[in-house]
Amino acid sequence: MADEQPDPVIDVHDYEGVRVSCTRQRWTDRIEANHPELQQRASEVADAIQNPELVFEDRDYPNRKHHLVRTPDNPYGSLLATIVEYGYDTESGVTIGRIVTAFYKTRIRDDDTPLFISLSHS
Amino acid sequence: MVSALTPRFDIQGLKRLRFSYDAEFDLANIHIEAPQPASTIEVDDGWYLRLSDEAIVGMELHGLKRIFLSSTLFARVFTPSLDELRQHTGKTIDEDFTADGSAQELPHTSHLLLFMLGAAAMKLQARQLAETTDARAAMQLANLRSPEDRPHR
Repeated sequence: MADEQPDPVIDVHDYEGVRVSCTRQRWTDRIEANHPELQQRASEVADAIQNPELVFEDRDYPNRKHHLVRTPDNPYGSLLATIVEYGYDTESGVTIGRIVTAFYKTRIRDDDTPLFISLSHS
Repeated sequence: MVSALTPRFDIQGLKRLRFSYDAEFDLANIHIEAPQPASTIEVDDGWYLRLSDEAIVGMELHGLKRIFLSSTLFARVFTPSLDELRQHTGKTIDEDFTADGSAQELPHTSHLLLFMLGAAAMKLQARQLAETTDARAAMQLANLRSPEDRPHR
């Protein structure tokens, strides 16, 4: 996980204080390249990790969480979802998060399990 | 009320595609033509459609190896395409790769994409139907309540 450290485009702490990062290379080559609507939106994704309105557990990966914020004026969806994978970092000896992907969507599934609901956004 | 979405896709219009695999997170992105700005809709666990003005422009699969290839059906469907992509890129799904080609250059992957889009569209329709049925059932249940049980306005 040491390769997450050089030149991170996102390096924040999530709603539980866990450090979450994304290298510039991953952001450009993976996330922006596959989701062009997220170009110039790294700060919005960072904010979704720091101050989510809702956090859901991933259905298949217990070590992944979906951080959601409302984006009412966005043409691609009223919600920004950022998926973070958490794991133990042997170098630092703590759990850290890495961004898997991010996208805009319009709906939340009825049977999603919320892990966190922000009261400050309501 | 749940609004139904009916994605559009021109089967005859598939000319080029791009298949991108992220080995670190076992994530596949398949784009029709090239990546486009789009909204994303979940059709099943880890299975997302990318839509631009309700036209399907791609698909994102989380857990290609861990989930999709562990199913006998999907393993059979994906194998010819993965063989083709290995020949095209020189890489396997143990590493990152991006394959960009025409439908003629990547025929098995084109067939895979069409199969997966059809399956995704059916899953989406089934989910929307279930949600609409749930919403109707909830409304009927609310209407069956006696007036004194209903909240005062």
